[in-house]
Amino acid sequence: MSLHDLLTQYAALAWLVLVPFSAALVIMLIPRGWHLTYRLVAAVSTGFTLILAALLAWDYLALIQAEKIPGTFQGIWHYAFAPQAMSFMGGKITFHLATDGAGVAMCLLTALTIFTGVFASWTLQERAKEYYALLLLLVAGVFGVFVTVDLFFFFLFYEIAVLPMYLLIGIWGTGQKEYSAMKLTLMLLMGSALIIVGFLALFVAADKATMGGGTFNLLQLAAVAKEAFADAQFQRWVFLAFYLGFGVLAGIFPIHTWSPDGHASAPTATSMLHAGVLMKLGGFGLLRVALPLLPEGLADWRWLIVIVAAWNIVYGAFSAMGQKDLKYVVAYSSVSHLGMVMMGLAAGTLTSINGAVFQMFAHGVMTALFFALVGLVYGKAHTRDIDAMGGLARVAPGLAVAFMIGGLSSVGLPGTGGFVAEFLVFMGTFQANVSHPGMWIVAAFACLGIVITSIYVLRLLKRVFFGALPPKYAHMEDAKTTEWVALAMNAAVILAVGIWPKPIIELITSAVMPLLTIMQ
Amino acid sequence: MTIFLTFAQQQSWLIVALPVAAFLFIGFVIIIAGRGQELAKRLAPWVLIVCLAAALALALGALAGGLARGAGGEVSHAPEWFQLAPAAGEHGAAAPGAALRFVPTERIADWLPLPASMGESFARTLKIGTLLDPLSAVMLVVVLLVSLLVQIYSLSYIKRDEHPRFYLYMALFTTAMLGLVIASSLLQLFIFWELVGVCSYLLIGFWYPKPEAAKAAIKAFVVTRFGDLGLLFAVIFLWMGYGDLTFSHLAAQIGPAMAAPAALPVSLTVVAILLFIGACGKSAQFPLHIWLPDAMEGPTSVSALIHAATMVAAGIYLVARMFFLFEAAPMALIVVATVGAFTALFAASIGLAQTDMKKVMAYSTVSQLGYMMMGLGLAAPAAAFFHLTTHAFFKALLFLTAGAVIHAAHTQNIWEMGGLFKKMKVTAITCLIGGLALAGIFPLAGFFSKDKLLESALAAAMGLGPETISAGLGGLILLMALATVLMTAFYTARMWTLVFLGEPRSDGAKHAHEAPRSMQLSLLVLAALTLVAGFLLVPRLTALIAPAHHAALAPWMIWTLTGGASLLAVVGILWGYAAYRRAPATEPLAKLGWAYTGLVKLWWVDAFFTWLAHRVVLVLGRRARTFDKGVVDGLFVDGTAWLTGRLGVVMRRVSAGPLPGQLQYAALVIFLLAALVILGMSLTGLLPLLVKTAQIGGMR
Amino acid sequence: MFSITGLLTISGILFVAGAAALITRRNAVAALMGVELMLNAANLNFVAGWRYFWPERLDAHVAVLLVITVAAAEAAVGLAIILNLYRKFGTVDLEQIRLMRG
Repeated sequence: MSLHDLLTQYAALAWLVLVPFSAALVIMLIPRGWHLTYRLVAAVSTGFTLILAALLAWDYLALIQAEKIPGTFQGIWHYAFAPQAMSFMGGKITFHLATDGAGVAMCLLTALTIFTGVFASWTLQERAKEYYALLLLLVAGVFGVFVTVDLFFFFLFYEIAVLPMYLLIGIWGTGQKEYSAMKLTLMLLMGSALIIVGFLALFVAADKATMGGGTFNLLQLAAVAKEAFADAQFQRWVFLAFYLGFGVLAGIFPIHTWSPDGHASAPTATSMLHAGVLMKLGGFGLLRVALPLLPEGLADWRWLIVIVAAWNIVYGAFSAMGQKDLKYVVAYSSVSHLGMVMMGLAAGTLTSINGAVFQMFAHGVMTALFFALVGLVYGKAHTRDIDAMGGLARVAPGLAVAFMIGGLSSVGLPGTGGFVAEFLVFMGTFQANVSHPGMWIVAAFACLGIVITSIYVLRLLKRVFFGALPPKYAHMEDAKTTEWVALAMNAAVILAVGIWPKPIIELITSAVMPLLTIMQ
Repeated sequence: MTIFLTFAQQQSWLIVALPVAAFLFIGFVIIIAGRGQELAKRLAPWVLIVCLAAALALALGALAGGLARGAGGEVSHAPEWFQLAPAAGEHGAAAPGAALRFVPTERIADWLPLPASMGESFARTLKIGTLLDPLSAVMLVVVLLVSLLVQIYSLSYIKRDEHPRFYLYMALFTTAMLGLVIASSLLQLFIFWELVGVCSYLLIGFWYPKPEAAKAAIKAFVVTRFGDLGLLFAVIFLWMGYGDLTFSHLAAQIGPAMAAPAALPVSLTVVAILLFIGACGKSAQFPLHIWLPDAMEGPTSVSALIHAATMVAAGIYLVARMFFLFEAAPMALIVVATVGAFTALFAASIGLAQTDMKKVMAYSTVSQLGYMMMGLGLAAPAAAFFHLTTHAFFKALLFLTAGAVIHAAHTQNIWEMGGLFKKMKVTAITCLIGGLALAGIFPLAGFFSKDKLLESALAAAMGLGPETISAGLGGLILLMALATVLMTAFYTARMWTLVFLGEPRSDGAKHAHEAPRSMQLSLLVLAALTLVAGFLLVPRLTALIAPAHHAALAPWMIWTLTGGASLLAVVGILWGYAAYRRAPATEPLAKLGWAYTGLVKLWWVDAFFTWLAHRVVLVLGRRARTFDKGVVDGLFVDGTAWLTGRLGVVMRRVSAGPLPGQLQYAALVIFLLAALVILGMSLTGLLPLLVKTAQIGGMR
Repeated sequence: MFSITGLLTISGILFVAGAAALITRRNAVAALMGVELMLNAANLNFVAGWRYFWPERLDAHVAVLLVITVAAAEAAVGLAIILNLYRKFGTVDLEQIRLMRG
């Protein structure tokens, strides 16, 4: 039996969701105080998802090689999980798990981030049981979003992914954690409200067009999209709802401010997961739902989105430069980098969307690395104030090297994932509207962000790791044992996808090509 | 032998792979043994040196192989996993008057597969590979040769404790530089271009506890990155227009007679200028030259390799590599030539008044790079490349002697040296050879290459240069070039006189001693190269890259020019010697008045950029932070929260208050809702519908 | 005869007057009278509807009778409540009567 048959027959995608979910339950059943056991359960279950995601990616690449991916939207979905067997409301809601290349890439990212995140929070003591349980629940939700093609479950998983964050930040956070947790949750729920309105609008429109055959299943919606969503006004306003709704999570200006506060207050693994994966749900939602179903809506709002995205890039970079807290710098850099995702998606060329999804992947790994590092530095130096640090490269060369790799990826340096992503996004955006110079003027403005990014990243490196070492840090320790897992794995992936981006790009292209055929 | 040559040619990627192997090995040793361990210290330098020696052998083999094939006309096939693209014809063309021929070898693999966009017939896949043509083959040898010598020199120059890290970075740098040179596509060149920038950053900041070093590293990276934006745009535009960024493809598609494709959004001239901006950043052309002098905070051997011989020449290399683009867009040549000539003069003038030995050389490097750029702008890429090669040798030599002097005298200020000739004869004499070559004295390497550049300037002044450069502009360029010759000779003589002659002017200088053997070895080899590179093989090899473009000048004109330039150089040297022989207490240049102030203040260019960085960019950053905290977050987000909270308070007062208030509130809400419904219906045109529904109800 | 418009206008005026009394008067008895007015406005509407739209149907009469009954009951219960309020608070001024802590 081939790998592909195995994965399909045993519903690999369902396991991706189920394993973290049941691990969360198992952890809740373990008696209080068995810290090592929680950690092992978490590590094993997430390790399993990592292996599974890697196998899926491997198999999907094999499918692409064998040219088994038809170039149509309907044909690209794989590992389908019994949609008929689990349907509700007379088939209007189906528990349909399936995914495409972009989804597989995102699953890989999620599995990597949570696996390394578990190791990054290995030493956490306070209420460790609940912490791991919530973390795993959150991850189950994230996996769910990436593998489901039913909008009802999409939304359900989306909420499961968002809500535990409130507790994770509110209980285990630092600083003004209650404020941050509240702000984050409220702003994200505002987005959710818009998203559910959009989903319902899609359902109702499809219901109307098919005389009562409405459905939440994305594939069936896509099949009737041409007739059901033909109305220009419908496309325009529903797309706007999706843009704003998903945009909250993608940190678009000016509804991004939950992200710096949230990230700064969250515990390490939560920040990693949140910036690394959750913020990608915004872009992913647009890619999965809004772009294929409402292409004219995108065309209506393209200028707005691209300009806001360019502003995000430059504004986020400037804001990051002005910060004094290490975590805020990283958080604002996320705002800047996610602008690139939105820009790539909105520009709507093959290259730019490829770049946007690649940026989701590359930025996810990079920012996970960053937050793991910030957590370690904070744990060892007991401060996140940049001005109070300096010369740490002397005592912690390992941290310095990892930070530099992450930083260079952030700068978009060749050999790191960030370069491939930025390069593709900018190329694609420049290409988007050749006859209209406005588009590449905006893109050129956004390129300014690259220079600003290099300034703040290098200044950060200088002020934290270079220069004179304050005496109080003379005996600071470098990263050790379990802490290395998070740093080494993420750094290695950044370099790997930077040097040899072909596999990831092939995965993404296989999903983007059919999308473009629809969007034309 | 033939087998080796063919192998070296076919497997030229090994030249890049060898330093990679060294990098990985050193990194591995550091990780398992720790960089403080004896094993790492002992192994690191030798691993790199051996790898570089092997790579040098391969590079020489590749060069010889290409030449042999040019002689024999033999063509071999590449293994299947690399597709052999058709060799670009014009690169292999024999230069007139040279019996040498070089057959290029090109290997290409897909790096980032991108299918064609809608309605396009060609895929936009990004490719990488190796390209061996005269330009890259000669450059490989130069890079490896200088790199190898610098590594040997560093054995005793860099403290043993720092060996593992130093050689790790050096291995990475050499990898990146070789990758840049051997790149077969513009994208790959860009990738390694950025990578050498990082290595430069790492190595300038090698002594990172020093704040100046960390600062200079950032400055170098950011300023060059600014230029890189230009290159990035050029790459993107070319990709949009041509879809394939391999040099052979671009060279076949871009030509003076060929129309630019419709997909190219800007004219080729703009693309060429953007490309040139990238080259300006890396090759420190005005006004992006400001990072190079600061980069001297790095170890001297780094300055010699990266900031004199190889990396800073990458800009020249880029323009030479893409010269077909500049030929197709001759308007851009005006910019290249003017900026180049101006930079040469400008930097030389600043070099006159510098007191730091390395800074003198740094400005001299900027100036010489300006020369090369000028040559490119005057459509004489072969001359520029010739000068690049000789400059790599003599400037590396000069820097290494400077390193030896600084090592011995523990100061970089030339006013605190003096009298070192007696104590370090080898260093002094090799420095003199390098200095005379820099000044352009027969028969040293610099004389020949500079002469070729001046020839192209003379041709331009007579209106024989590229058609876009008028005789007037050409004359101005020639004047600037000749003024630079005088200044170069003057500051070289000033530096050498102050350092080596007279009496020691500090304790460090009094107790100076000759450099260790390994350092001397490198100096002697480089001095030998400087002696012979001007006439032995190098001119013929560099001439292979392109035939001379300007019409032949009459021999008497060339002789007059050569004689005149040499005379200027001699005058400059004697003048400098005479002025500084006695190490006067006051700087003789101070007599220049305001001009001297300008020289010392670096013509205020640095001040401007410092202002830009500190008063504009960083302030904008702080403003963005307060704006985000205060306005976006404070006003909008917290404002919304506050508003909601206030509303809650009001509602609480109402709903828990006396009955009339509650009733009034209810009435208000009902009224507002009704108004909203009616307003909404009339806006959406549904009001008649409502009336109609009521009527139907009425009829029932 | 009256036109339907006239009848509806009078009913509207009655309703608004009742509502105004209800929400502005501080005296509880006056507020209760406002409610009575509003109920009677509704009654007038019913009657007008019967007269001009469905003269053959009796629905309106039923509704009017129901309203009158309810109004009577409401007046009785309302007055009883007001009496109790007066006993408890010593006033029938609605502004003075607050049980909820807001």
